[in-house]
Amino acid sequence: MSTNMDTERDFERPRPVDIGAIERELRRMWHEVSSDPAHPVARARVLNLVVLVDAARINAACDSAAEVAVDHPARTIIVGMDTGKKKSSLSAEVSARCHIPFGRRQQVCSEQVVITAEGEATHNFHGVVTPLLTSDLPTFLWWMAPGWPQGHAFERLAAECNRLVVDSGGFLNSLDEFGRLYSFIRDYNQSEPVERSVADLNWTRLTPWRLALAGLYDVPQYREALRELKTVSIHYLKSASLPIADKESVGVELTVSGPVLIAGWLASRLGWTGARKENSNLVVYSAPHKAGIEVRLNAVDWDASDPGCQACFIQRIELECGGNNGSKFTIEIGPDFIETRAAVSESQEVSRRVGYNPRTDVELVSEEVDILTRDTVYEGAVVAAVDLSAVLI
Amino acid sequence: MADEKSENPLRVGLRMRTTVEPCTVVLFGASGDLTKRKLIPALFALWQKHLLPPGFSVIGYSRTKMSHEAFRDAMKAAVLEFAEGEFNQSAWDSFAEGLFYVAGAAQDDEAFENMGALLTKIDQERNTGGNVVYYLSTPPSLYEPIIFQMGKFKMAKPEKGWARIVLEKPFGRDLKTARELNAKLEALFDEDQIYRVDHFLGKDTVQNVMMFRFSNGIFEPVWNHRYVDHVQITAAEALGVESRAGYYEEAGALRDMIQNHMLQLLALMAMDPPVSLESNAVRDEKTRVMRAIRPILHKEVSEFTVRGQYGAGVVNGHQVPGYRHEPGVNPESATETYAAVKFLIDNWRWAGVPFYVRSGKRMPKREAEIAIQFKRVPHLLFGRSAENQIEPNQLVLRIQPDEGITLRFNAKVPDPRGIPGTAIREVNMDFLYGSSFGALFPESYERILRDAMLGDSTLFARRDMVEISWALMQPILDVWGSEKPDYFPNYEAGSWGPVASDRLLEQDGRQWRRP
Repeated sequence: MSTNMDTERDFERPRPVDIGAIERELRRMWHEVSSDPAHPVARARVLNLVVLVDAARINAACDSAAEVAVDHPARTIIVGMDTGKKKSSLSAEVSARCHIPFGRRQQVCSEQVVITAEGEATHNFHGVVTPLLTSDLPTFLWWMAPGWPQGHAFERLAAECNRLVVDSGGFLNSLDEFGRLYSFIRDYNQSEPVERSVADLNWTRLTPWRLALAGLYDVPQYREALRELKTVSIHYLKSASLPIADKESVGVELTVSGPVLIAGWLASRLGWTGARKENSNLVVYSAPHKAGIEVRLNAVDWDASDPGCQACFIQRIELECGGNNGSKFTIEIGPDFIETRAAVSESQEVSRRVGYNPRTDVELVSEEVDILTRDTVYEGAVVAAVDLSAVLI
Repeated sequence: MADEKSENPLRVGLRMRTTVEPCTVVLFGASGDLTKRKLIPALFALWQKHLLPPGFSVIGYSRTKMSHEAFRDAMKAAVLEFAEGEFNQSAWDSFAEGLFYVAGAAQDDEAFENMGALLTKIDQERNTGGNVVYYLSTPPSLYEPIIFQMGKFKMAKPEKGWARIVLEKPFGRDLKTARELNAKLEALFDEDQIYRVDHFLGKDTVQNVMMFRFSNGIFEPVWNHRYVDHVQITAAEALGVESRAGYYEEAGALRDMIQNHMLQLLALMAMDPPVSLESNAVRDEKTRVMRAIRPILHKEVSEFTVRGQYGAGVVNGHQVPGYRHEPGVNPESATETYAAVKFLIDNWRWAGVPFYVRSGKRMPKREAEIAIQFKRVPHLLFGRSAENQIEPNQLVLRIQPDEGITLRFNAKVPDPRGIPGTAIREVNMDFLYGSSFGALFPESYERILRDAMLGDSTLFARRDMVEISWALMQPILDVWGSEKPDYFPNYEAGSWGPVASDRLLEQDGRQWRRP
């Protein structure tokens, strides 16, 4: 274990600290921080954020957590896990991460504790983390490590926290794992005694699409036309054709988890049931009071001449209505916008473009730490996605 | 599938608010300041947040002659100058497709015909459903001519869709003109079509007053005359009259601030909990408490009110002229730039608790706050001394800037020498929006415009509220109008107002808080 007690005055630089003295060192740090009247600093905490990450990505995790803390000042505890090391070791550093809010002169600082766990210590670091959690504040546990969330320390910490943040897009390796995802969520939600919930960044990424689709149903004229909805086509990029540098983390079928989730959401919210497969990418649902609804999942190649959004798996969603009105609604993503087009009956098509850039994981997590309750809409979408993926396989 | 009357099934679980119905907003006074600084930037921000539907349109109406393209260019320049956040050209191009312009005066029949034809064309091409919001961002003197034209061209009750009218304050100059304006409006529109803006109500921090009161169980039991000594509501500006002398000379602080914003804040502070958040449930409670405010009789005006006008002074380190030397101001102006009023509320909750309300220009800093001073402890155990400054508790809700809430209480001072004693000091427990929630506040006009398009009138003043507030002001206006203030100017720019304002509280054994 590290035993250095750094005496640097610059509180934003990490200072190594004895594992048993983290809390004392934090107090000392804040005392130093507040002693300079020329540079006022406000210490702020509205939540605890625990981040579990591979030791190799610890620096990136620190930066990400610090960005989250800009809008959600927190006591952040980052644990870098290195199971490959033979020797068991736990070491820690503390620092303050500060920023100046827009229009103000005073820095607002959150505290960051970084723990490195090696070898056997990766199974029991929860004993160091739990006492550091600030009482009476909600606790979020962000699984940034690869693979499914697991491990003894993870389970113990998960039992302490209010909301678990995962990215199922990072560990759903095939469509048949949607069932496992649902079991994981259900078991986690039902655990006692603390009321807990799961946030899934794979789902949060879909928010702009959900907003655009929900916006169509807000408009009475559009909702009238959508009564005759007959086809939903979801166009998404084939991972092999994606012009992104790191394709190793993207499984061939991974990119379809988002489209399957959004199709599941539509089905669960609009009452579609009984999915049956017509061909490799076409599923037909039964819907109340109408003939079947076709859902097409179309993998498309990246087209350099029509770039769309290269970091977005879903490129376009089309809703075509039957009956006499023949209305069509399209939501499409561009290089820096998302466009909604509506052609109702035989009237002229109208459109709306709003600025859009794919959100970073930090932005997604920032959205999720505003919420403590279960997302039953997400859970319903996952249930429907389980049914859909079972049919597609 | 849900029908129009039921909840949108896709909206459930989404954390963003409802997109408004397709509509056209007609901006009267489109070449004016409010349109450029606030309205168009707010509409574009709503567009960017998916809160306006495809096909949303704006018609700017004003005397300045310009084409649709010139109007779009002018509005783009306004957004670039006054909007927050990053500018997205693609989004702007899409938004600008819905911007149109008609040149005309307030009573120009031909221009109104052109506007009607354009509305029909927009409806056909952009599917606005015939829905229109008429926003009067003009000087108040043009309200009646415009309303007259709207009656003449039957714009209030369209055959297809809905129509709403939005008016900025001041709503009338006094009780008589407010009633006249209301009567003219209600000859054409139903009350639920009329939206009287008080942009203070659109501020997050003002909305927080109600959230704070009714989502925290510990405060309501002490929110009454048993525990509250008095309430101070302050809206101070460091700015002078700037370029608004033409309007301000006719208005003054009482009409500009006290009659509307300040009384709304008082109502939020003093109201009883509504039975629901439905707009009329909230406004019913606000109106009820306003009806309980004791009218100030003419003979009581000098006892219950103070007016002032700033002279030359220093504000933020800069020498500034007195009001009478500002551009456009009458050198013998009798307009008050400062007003303070003591209100009493005759109901069970607030009997005997004064509400001191003040607003002024050219004060040391910009500050809007509500301060609740609680009563002193019934028995001072620790005794008052140089060491012990036991002050009553205070709860301060800061509206702007430094938005947040402070609770002031007394705590023992630790003595490192170990000498036993009971030195006590006041300390602050602070909640700051900026530290706790890093996000910027949305502009209040975004909320106001969106609510008007959604048909949610919670944040708008109802007819009865407006007339009650003018009725409360009328005796003051009568007395001030009849007595020339030959003591003006009576406070130095950069000070907290006239000495007489201090006496308003001192006569009750109290003093103004220094914000």
